[in-house]
Amino acid sequence: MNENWQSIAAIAVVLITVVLFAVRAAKRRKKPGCGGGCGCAK
Amino acid sequence: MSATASETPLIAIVGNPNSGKTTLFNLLTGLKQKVANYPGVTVEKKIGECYSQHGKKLRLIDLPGAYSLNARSPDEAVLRDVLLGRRPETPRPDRVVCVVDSANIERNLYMVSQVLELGLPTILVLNMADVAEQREWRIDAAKLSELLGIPVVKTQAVTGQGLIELKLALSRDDVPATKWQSAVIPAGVRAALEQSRGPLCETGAIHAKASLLEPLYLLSDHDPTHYGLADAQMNRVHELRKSIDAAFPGWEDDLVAERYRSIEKLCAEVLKRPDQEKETITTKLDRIFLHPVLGFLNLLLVLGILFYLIFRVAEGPMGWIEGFFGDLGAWVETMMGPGDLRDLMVNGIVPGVSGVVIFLPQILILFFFIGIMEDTGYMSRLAFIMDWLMSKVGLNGKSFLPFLSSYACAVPGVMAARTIDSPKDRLITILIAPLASCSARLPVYSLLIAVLFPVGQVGAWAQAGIMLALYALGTGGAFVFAWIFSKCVMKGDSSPMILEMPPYKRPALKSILLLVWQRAKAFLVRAGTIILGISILIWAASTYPKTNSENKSLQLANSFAGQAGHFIEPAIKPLGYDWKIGIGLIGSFAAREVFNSTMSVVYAVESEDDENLDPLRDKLAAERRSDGKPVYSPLVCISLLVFYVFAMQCVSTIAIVKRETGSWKWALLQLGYMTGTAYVLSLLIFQIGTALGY
Repeated sequence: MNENWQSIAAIAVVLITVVLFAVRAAKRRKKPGCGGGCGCAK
Repeated sequence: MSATASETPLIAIVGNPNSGKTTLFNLLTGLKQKVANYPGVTVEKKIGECYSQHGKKLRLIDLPGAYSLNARSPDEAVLRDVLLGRRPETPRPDRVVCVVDSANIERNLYMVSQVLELGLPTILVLNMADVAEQREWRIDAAKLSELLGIPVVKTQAVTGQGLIELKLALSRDDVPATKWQSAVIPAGVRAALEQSRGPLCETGAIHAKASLLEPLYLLSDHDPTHYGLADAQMNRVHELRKSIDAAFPGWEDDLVAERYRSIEKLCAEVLKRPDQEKETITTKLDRIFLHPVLGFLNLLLVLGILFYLIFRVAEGPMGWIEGFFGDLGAWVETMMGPGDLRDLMVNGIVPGVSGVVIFLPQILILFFFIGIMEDTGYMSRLAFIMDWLMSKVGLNGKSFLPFLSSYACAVPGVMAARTIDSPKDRLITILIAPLASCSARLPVYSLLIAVLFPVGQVGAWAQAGIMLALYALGTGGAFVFAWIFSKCVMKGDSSPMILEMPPYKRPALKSILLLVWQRAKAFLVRAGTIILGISILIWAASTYPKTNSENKSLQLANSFAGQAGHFIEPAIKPLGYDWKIGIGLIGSFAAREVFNSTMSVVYAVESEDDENLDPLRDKLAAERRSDGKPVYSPLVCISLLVFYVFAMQCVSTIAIVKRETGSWKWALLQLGYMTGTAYVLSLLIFQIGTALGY
């Protein structure tokens, strides 16, 4: 993969991550708590 | 709603706390179990599967431990509601296994008698039979089975003894109905309960065909959360309770006394005790572990050993994980040509995730020890010793368990404060809970201690000593703030705590390993999702916007993260921190362990040598200021450690405090007082240390 394609792929990975975090944050507004993410094994 | 015969039968496991109920559940289900929460409450719901002796699949549900169906906490309310079929998401069980601590049979039979009155087919398990035998108690299981009319099995959950007999009993499709006669309800109270049925039906609190037990348990419900009941229904319940209280003062106590009289009669026929009670190993050990001075010294010794093991034993596996990620980074480097995607993987994802995953062995050792302390019965002694200290700072003994939970994670700790009746104590407990050093702080502590004392320079005992001091500092800070809140901010009475001291027993290794496995899974899932995502974002923030400069330090300084670090630098410089540490501090306000990921990514992005895959601690130790002095001097490391002990850096905890207190006021007060204290103490340490020439 050349450098240009790598730049596009890296930006795509970053944008997907931002979207996933936004969706997760929106879900947590409805159901707050750690959701097991804190390592408490809930 | 009960599961139909064609479905897999649902068997509820119930019992008093410390009766060995969960050990038995783990023994029966092994890894075939799922852990969730009951909707609306913070009570753990454990469901698992096992096979009967005839190969028939059975579903098991481990219900919360309780002393009675007259609920006084959300846990007890869940137990009662599931057994009455009042929780829509959990079907009413087809059968019940009542687990009884044989050495406390009279008290345990109290709830058994209530369960039997519900009419569900029941199997009675006399667990910890060995402990009763050590005390020379003779329990006639056959006679008990005959009198109650149900199967009775003796077990020893720790060794698995009696498990086959229990499975045989579970395999029976024809578990007989009990012969137990309901405890007598005085005629007046019975009539009042009958009369309350109509109004309760009208509000929808109970259904028309409910037995007398439903209004009884509803009117004797002291659970503060009252899940599933609307305000109007609760108001009606309160009105009816007031009228019964006025007509029959002490009616609840009379019912308890009547039930115990029936149990005493039963025990007189099945239990033979020696004339003089033999001194048990528990009594002997408690002379040391509950001693005001020896008990406290013992506690320090236990924690010292724990932290020593965390450093000494975890060293090897941590090296393997470090090596694995180093090799992974090198492999990606050779497999891909230069470019942003390779940079993201080599300098973002790999160091970011490894910066946290590397501490997995230490976290597992911590939870293994917590499991040992819980399973042996030592944790209750710890609660007893701490209760004395807590009462000195005006806290309720009940605050100890939420506070103790917070050493794993503040979120369940804050939620567990719901069990505290006094609003004042509950609020203070919520406010101080995050000062307990949670497992997310462990990676940060370990990293900074390793920079402070490089490998080989000092022994593991010195590192353990520093770690113990940090935990003690957080605990001491919590007590100081509890005292301040109790005396100056919130005044009111505290309520006493009744604590059960279970007998000491050999830990059930399988149960403990299961707990450790669940924690490892949760930790790795978090590393593979949240930490991975944050590492990607930190890499992006440290890489963009791009400049034309070939100098990577300049590129980092101009990036979004660099600009943010420079923006807060004037505020953190007096603490001895530079702008790169500032980036780590900003990142760790999402979660504390993100500090490690952030610093890993920042130093990887900045590195001129793409093949420099040195561990983070070495990179931090090698970092120099413009005057050649180390950035991470001992004073800066100590200042940072103290900052992490006190600062409120957890979005999840802030959100849960807001929800539990119903107001942003307390969540913001907590954020302010904790972070303010962290700032002031770190400032004092650095400034005084510098003035003294350190």
